[in-house]
Amino acid sequence: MTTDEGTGREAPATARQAAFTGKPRRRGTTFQVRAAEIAARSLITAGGLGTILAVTLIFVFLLMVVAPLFTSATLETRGTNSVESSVITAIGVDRYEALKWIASADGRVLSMTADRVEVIDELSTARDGVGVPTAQTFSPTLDHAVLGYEDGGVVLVDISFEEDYLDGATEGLGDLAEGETRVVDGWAVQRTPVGQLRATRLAWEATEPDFPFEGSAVHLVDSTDVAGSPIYATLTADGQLALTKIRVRTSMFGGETRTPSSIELPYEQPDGAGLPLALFLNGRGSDVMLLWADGTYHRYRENDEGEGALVETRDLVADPNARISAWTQMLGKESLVLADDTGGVTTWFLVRDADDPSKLVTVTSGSMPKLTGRHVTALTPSPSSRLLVGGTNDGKVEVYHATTHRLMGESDLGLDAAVTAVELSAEETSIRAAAGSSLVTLTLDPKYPEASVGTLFGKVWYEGYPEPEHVWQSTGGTDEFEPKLGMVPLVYGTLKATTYSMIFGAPLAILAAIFTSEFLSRRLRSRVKTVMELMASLPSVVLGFLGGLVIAPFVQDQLAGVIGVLFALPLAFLFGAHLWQLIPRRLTLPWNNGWQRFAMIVLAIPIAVAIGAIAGPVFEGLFFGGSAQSWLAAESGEGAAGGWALVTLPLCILAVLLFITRVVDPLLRDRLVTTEHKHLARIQLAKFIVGGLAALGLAFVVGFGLSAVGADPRGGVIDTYVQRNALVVGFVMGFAIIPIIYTLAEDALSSVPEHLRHASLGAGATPWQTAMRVIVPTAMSGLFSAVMIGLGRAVGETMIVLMATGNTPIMEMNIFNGFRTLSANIAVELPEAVKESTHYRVLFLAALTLFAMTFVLNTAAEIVRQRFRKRAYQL
Amino acid sequence: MVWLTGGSLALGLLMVFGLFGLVAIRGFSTFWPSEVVRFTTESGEVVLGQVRGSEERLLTEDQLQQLEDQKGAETVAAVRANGDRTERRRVRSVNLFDTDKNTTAWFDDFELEGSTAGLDGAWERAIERPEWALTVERYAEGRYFGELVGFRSGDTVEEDLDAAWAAFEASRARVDEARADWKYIVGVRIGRDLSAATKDAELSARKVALNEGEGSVEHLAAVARAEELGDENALLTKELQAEANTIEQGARDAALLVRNARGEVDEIEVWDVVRAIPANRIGTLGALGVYVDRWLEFLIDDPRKANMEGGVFPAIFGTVLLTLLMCFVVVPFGVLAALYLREYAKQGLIVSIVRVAVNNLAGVPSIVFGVFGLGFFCYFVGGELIDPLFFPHYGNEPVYGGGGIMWASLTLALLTLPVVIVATEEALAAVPSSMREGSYACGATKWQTIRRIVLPRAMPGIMTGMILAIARGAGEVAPLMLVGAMKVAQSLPLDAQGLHPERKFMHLGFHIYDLGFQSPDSEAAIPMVYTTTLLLILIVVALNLTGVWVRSRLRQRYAAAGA
Repeated sequence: MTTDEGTGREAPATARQAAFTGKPRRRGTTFQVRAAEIAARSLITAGGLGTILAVTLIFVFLLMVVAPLFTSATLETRGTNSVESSVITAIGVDRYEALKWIASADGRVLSMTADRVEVIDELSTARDGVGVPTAQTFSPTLDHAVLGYEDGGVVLVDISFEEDYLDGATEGLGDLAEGETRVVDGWAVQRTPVGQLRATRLAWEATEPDFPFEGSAVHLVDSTDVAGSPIYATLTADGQLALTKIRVRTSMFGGETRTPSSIELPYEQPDGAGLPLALFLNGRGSDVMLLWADGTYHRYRENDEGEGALVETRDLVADPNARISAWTQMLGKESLVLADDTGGVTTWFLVRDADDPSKLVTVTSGSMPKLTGRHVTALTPSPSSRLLVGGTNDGKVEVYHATTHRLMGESDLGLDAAVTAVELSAEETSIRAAAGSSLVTLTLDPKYPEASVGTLFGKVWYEGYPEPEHVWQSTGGTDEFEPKLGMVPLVYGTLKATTYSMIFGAPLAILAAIFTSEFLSRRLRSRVKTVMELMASLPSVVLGFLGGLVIAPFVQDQLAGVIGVLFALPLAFLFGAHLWQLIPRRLTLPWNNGWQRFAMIVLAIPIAVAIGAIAGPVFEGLFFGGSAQSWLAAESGEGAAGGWALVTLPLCILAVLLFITRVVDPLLRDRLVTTEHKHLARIQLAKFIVGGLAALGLAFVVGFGLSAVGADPRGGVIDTYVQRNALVVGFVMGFAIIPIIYTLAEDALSSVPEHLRHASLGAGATPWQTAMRVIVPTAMSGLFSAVMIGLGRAVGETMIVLMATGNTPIMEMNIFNGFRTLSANIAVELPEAVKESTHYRVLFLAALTLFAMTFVLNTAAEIVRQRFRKRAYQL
Repeated sequence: MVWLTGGSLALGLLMVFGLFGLVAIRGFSTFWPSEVVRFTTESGEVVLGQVRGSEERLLTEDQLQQLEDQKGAETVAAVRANGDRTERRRVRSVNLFDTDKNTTAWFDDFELEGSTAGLDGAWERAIERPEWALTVERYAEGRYFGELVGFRSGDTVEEDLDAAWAAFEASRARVDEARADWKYIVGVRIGRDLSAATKDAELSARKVALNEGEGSVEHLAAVARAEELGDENALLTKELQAEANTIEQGARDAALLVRNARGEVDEIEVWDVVRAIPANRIGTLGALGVYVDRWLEFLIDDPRKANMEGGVFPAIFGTVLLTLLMCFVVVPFGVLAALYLREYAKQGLIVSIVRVAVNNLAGVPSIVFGVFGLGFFCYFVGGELIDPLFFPHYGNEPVYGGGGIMWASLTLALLTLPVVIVATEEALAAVPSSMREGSYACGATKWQTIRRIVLPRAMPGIMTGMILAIARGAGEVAPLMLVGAMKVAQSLPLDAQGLHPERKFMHLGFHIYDLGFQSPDSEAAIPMVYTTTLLLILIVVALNLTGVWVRSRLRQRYAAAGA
């Protein structure tokens, strides 16, 4: 409808009044027109502003998801109860926090409601006629305990929580609210969020005692569990040390038979030290560690012959006056944590010795912030992560992150007693600490302890690593696995992908753009440009597929040939150019901007490919023992000369080029001024051939020289070959960035005003001189912004790197190895990441990093381009 | 040096043509039925199968030494006589230990029986092409290669091969019809209608529980109704299943009798056969028929065998629907934003900052949009706003709280927004201000001017922007991996019941990634990947070319009108 806006409807009337009346017309704009005007204005303004706001929302939202990563933990006291018990040695709580158990020094184990002290059940660890245990150790996850007795008996205990769901109609529970706990017949009952009644009780299952040393009182004991088979180590009061493995067989009728087998370890006691303070068994059950109060540490290990020996002795506390005040092992039992009475808390674990890789040594990865004037008296690890909770002699609770040695939180219990036992719940939401006869419950929110600026971007010394490293490994196979969220390998991978693809793509694109804008006729130019733009529309998943499944296997098969072609191509073009000069000028002149020269250039490619494909393997046979890949993997005995020659060849070419332009050309110039073009072309060709050979010779001289010195190029830019590698990615990514750089660069070159070109040509410059000395410098900022935008695309490209690399997050400059980029990492891991977990937020941080990187690059490009436009306009 | 620049351009062009050529050749050749050959290897193994590519390789001295240790001097002498070269072929055949599967293996010329007489022509000498060799494509298992020996129908066995083949052809129509009925019952009636009805009833019961309270009269009634319906449906399912079984049993009476490479006769029921091709006797015309048939199947059928065979219709459908939905969102908003920036906003520092930001957004990696889409649309808007508000009865099961076609299209819309804004702005800027001024001078308001004068003139630019946005959106995969593209989607996001914006979907690009990199046998999947790639490239390139064409057409028209 076009008549709804006033003018149309009035048409007949206007026609009638068309005659000049002399009176001014008095007609306002009709209501519809005004309404439409206002509606359009507000709609467009709202829609436009809304759209632009929506766009900024992306950044804000990413930031909102990432921000909580850097909030600090909170810790506050929830309540204090007093318990009638002797010194509490261990506390455990079930995962729903319905009930807890406490073990005390007098051998009693009380189970009671989690937030009060209503005793549900009581059991004793004393054995009939033997009495209370003389040694007891609870596992870090508090689901196992091992007890040693006066008579040499060792009992393994399985601690679990039995759960049952009650009938909704159970008497007396109708009014039970969610979050409340009530005791019914020895069960702690809670109402679940979906309204069911869940009953929980402690299940304490002790085995019959084994007797590694019958009759000798057990002094210290520790146990671990390897794939369902328990292993424990015992030290008796009379100085006998043994490692006992128990094979559990389930018989056909459901019964279990346990066969213990012990090996005795040659216990050595330092002079005048008495019995040790603590005994540890590592998680794999291979090493037994003894610790004395002054920090003396002995490590025993079972060797291949099944005999144990003392393999390491050292002092773990530097201060001679310090005494060990608390100790524990982190989850997985591979790290020791020791607290001493000067306030230090230190973590130790085994790593491979740098000097002798067959040996392990105990090293410290660092200490927690030192306490002054007070010290830790009780320690417990988190049953699910690397958090560590300590209780101090002045009644405070400290929460540490063991890997990064950070103090996450501190809380004063308000009691004037030393803490004897602490416990952290499985969900890490609550802490229970025992001091004197009081039991304090604290609420903990650890937030995101694995992530901090230090762990995300710095080197971190993880358990079992020989030194601090940048590591990204977000998921692992076991519960004990510690996520390693170092983003540096990913950033490194991103930069590596970008670098190699730019080395390949940027020169190609820019040179191609120069040729298109300066040496092609207008008609050819538009066709060529359309084809190159078509390349830009290729979906990157297609490029990734071709890279990963077609090009990568091909390059692996034909490595020598491919590298040969890489060198042969530019040489062939240069050689072709010199030959072209030999053709009489009157023939070539009309061809210069037409298809003829371009056709000749195209023809040079198959020749170069053929030469490269033949020369590559020949070179490979001569210098790499017939297989470049086994040479790269250092499997063939061939020397390094060929490798060096190859690596230094580009530098040598540059050197020779410099020599020619600086030394040879000035010498020749005077004589050549008068020479005919024909002769000049011949001399140039000779110069080129001699120069090329000289460069090659120089490269080999350098190569042999360097390899004679003993230097090896492997380990840097070239090293062991992996099928999906940076070379392949560089090439395939070229497909993605070449059209972008090409189009923008060509636009920039074409927009240099014609009069500059004409002036230059008119002054006698050749087209090449014009291009290089006039056009390119003028368009430089445009070319720069084209490269920046290409760079931005390469940084964020996902599918190509996802499919054409092995996605291993390693940090190596090796062109023949893979990497993992930020973008590929997001694509691989985000679908699996649990919403709002640390991992999830760190992946958002990766996205934010990418966003920031490309935003900076693009803004820089945009600003430069604006300036270029202004300049081009002024010219 | 000019040559170096020209060489770069030539290389660039060569890369484009090489890539398109490779994809076209490999993609178009996938469905061509190749001949079935039989040969005996030197170790006495008989192989019956299809050649799927060959290559020549040059053996190194080490490899020749190894070969001598394994095969003896004669073999090596033959290879040496051939200039250390040997040709090898990749042959796909039936796995004789598990005839449900295929084996693809390389066979070097020197491995063939009689190759010691000389490698030149060894292949041609070694192979035979059995006249009645069949390539049988099966629904659930891999391809079967064998020689036809007969056709069993009920208890009668036809052993005359021509008659047997005729009987097989004749039985196809009947079995295919039965199979279609069976598929309808199992897939649609049981798999979709009945299970959906049962689930709906349960969900509505839960909804009642939430509205009226747990254990209320209404709730109990609804639960009873749901249970009753469930029982009813279970009974109905059983009946339908029985009916389907009857159909299946009735149609399973006919079978091809085929002899495999070991000489054993296998029975392949017509019911299990998608297509049987007597590859060596159909001739070029017959092969063309099979080729066209396979392309049709590829374009309009569902995938089979973990996507490795069959069609990609759901993926095409998903791609097209996704792109259309994206278009509905991105074009109006993009045009609004551009109109605002160019016509309404006060030109100044802020607007130019916004303009730079919008330009920059075009360079933000697509995966970042995917992350945003997952976090904002799926988890926040879907999971925390829509689901608790409208679908509380689904409990923890996400409805809009996971990936889906709506979220995916919104994500892509954000991704392509800068393309539309920039193109539209450029088009608006290109409208000469004299035309605007002329319109104002005639007394038109701003909106009238925009609607009647500016927008029509800017239309070519807007269209171009839209088409470029579609082309970019159709080829984008990375963000879709996060917001709802799936390996196999059970149901289409648009069906007789209407649009299901929450459903996950299949996508051609994701299909390529999944098939090439996540499938159990990626070697065997490569031909299929090529074909899918070809299809995707054709779609994207066609869209791009349309964009270019539309632009030039409209420009011409306005140029003519302006003159």
